[in-house]
Amino acid sequence: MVAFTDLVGYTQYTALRGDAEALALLNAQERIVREVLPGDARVVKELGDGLLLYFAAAASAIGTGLVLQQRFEQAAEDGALALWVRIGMHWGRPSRRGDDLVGHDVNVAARIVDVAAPGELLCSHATVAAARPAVEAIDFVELGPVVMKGIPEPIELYRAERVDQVSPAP
Amino acid sequence: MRITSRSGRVRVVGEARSDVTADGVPVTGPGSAELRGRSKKMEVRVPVGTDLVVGTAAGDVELEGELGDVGITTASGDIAVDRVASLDARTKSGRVEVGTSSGTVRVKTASSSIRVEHVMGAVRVASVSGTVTILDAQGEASVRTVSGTIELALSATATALVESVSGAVRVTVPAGVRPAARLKTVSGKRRVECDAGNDVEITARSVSGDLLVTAHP
Repeated sequence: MVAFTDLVGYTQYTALRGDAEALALLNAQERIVREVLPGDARVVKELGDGLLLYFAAAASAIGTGLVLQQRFEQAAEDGALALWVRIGMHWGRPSRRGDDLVGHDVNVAARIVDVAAPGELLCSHATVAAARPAVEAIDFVELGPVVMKGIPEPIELYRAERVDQVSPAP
Repeated sequence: MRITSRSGRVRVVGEARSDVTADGVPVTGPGSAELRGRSKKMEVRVPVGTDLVVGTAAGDVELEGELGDVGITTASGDIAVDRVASLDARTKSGRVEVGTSSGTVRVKTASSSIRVEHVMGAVRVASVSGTVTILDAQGEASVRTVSGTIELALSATATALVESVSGAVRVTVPAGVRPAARLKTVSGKRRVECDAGNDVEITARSVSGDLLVTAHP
């Protein structure tokens, strides 16, 4: 199970506020992620303004992703994180290359995060199917088939929301 | 109804009818709720209120008439929507124009402009550099941009959370409405041109973008 996080607007923020403040944002993002990640997950690598994460279980990944978004929103309100984070997840069998993860499923997850709006957690159908028996109090709002560059078939995407935060359809 | 296309333009018309046609041909039988195109233009006619999901890579998506709950994703196609029950529209570089929604509207773009006319439900819009214009938000409005300017007109029943990195923000309320405005910016300018009150709640934050709350002339 792979997930990407992405700090929206990071390049613009760096140009406006300078490297020191931008670095503080990256540190804030990573600190929150490391505080929230469960034992079966790890930060695979940093990617400029985002992170590649690995989770052993889909349900744990989605639950963690939603907690992360809550923490990021709280940090924004408190002034600790001036930008917004978006998250994309895909369940598959990524290939290991040392500590790194590579392959088609990693590429799909990277495309999914591109579709997410700031503050959102998007998952592929494969993620939802793998997680569904074990998730509680999470709603999956279907976005439909998304045609992605370099991916032969459209990918079915869902927006994950805690049930107590569900907004009207879609 | 689910429609996918690579580069072909997709036009869907919601009208007074009971059947579905694609390019004039009746669509029936198993799998009729799913249409797949590639590079050719496609016109689909459906009953009023039909729920719809459309995915394209580069094809424009145009929805005419009255439709139900609608989801649209496209990488570079433009999106034009007439009347829907609710909408989730996402594009990287295509423009988005929305007429009227009786429910929630979500729009996400990267570099293109967004124009939304009337939303009776919640409206949640995110853009990187595109201009965002919302002419009549009647529910909860949430708008986020990095460098795009934001023009948001609220009704007396709305609330707003508006966030920008460097884009200028202008929130307008009806004349006579006294907003509770909380404006916070690191280096931009803040101005409220209405009398303070508790009629509508407006929260606006930016890094360097100017924040303005004003009344309809």
